[in-house]
Amino acid sequence: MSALRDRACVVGVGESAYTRGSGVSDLELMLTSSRRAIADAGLRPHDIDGIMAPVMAVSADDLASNLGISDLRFTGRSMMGGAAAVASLLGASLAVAAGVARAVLVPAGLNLYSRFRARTVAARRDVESPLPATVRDFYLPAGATAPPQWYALMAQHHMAEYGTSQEALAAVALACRRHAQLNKRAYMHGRPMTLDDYFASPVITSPYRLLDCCLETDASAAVVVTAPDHPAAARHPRVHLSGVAEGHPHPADDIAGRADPLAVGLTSAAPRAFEMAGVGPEDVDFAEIYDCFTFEVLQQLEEAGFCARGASDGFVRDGAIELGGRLPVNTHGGLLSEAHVMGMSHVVEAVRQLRGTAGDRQVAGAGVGVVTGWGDLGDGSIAVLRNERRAVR
Amino acid sequence: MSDTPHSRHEPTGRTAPPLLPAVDALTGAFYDWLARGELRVQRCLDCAVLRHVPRHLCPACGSDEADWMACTGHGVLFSWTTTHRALHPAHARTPFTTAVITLDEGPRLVVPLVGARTEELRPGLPVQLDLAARPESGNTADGIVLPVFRPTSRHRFPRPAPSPAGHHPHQKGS
Repeated sequence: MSALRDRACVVGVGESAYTRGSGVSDLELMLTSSRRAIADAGLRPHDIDGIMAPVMAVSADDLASNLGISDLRFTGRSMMGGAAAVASLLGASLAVAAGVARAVLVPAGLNLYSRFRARTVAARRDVESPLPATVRDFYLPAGATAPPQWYALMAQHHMAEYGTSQEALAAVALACRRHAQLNKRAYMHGRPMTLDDYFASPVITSPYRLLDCCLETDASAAVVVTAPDHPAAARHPRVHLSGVAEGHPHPADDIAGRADPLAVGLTSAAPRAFEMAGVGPEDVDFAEIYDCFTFEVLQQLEEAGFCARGASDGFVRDGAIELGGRLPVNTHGGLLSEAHVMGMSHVVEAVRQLRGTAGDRQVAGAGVGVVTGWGDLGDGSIAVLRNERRAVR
Repeated sequence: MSDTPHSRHEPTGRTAPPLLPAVDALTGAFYDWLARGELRVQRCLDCAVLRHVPRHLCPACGSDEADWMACTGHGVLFSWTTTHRALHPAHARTPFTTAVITLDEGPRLVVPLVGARTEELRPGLPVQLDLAARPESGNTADGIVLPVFRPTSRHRFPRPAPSPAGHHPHQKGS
């Protein structure tokens, strides 16, 4: 049994409004979600003694100074783009399991509409790029300036190799949009999508159409992590971090140079997380999969072991990933139809599902959920969460 | 669905300074060879494994001894994306295709692909380096030669004689 299994819980969750045009700074956005997560845990800011800082824009000291956290004793930061939010749960788990900190705040998100378009960040000259030098020296000159182009190179390879269809990409977009209709917070709530809408949307960079691409929004979400015996863990039904892992493809900084062109960080991280948790993909009741683009959901379903490599096309057809299907995916609408919260809204949704408070989109009897993160040319992270309805074997 | 919030921000079509590599250290050596008319990749002097992108150490054996081996400039298409909507003003002319190609010598590179018809794009399509070509996206500047590839056509683009490898003093580290 892993030394880290069930040694940490997510005890508080919170969000800012999800908008285009927050009218506030990144710090204010992050303070809103942080305060709500701390309050949801029944704590006060001075109870927080650890912070895993977000990828960009705001530091742990910025947060602590403004929240009034007077005895900060543990800080960290994962530099894995969209994989950082879930990877930060690993750092937070280590800290509370080791007793280095008692309550760790993990915020994420940005003004990704008003200030930092994800599509521009790699090529901006006015901010220090968080991306590797290989992108600057080889990808940007060749025209691959933005994430949809990098990942399209993986998607196109997969489609040629396995016959993966455009309809499978559409199935991901449609599932997320249908789920968003059950989530008033979702930016696309009230804006349903049909398969015809999908095929009518323009090609951005083949094989990705507009509706294969995630939203750009101003949004932040945060969680608080403690050990299971912390008083805050008793406030809601306990949500255990049963397994959590990060992984990095080799080389992490060049998609083209990988011996296995479809191996990503999740490929190595998922088996570690499942082993730590003592469960397998077949035990999972729902999955919140980082959906920067539709194909990345297919790829992660395969690499996490929910289906075999090359089998995701069949897996996602006929509603399997929709609520009521055998593995509901992105029950909140995801980055594609809820908001782009750098992966943290996926964690928040998993916690709500496991508390049984997901309302109209509740997965009946949910006991085990998976959340993944994806970033920076395929870095990956995964958390296996469970409530106490489901005992580990 | 014609008025999704996605669609409010159309590309401006304005041009911008080109996006160029930082031509220092190992990256500079790669682009220097291109400017001199050759595509070269690093070769480990201890285990002979070829590598791209340039690295200080051999990922296979850890050696810091490498030289630059001349490649034929021939390879095959591995994957590609054709961009129809400008995502950066330096690459404002659409459509343009960015490809992953596998050199005959083994390493794979991300490159601009020119002169290809959409319907001919397939894995394994023979491609070759065209040092005179410029990216169709418009990202170009004097003094920098990018590794632009095009589908192989032996009539218009005769196969160049391969350059002898290893004639140049090897370059360590930077």
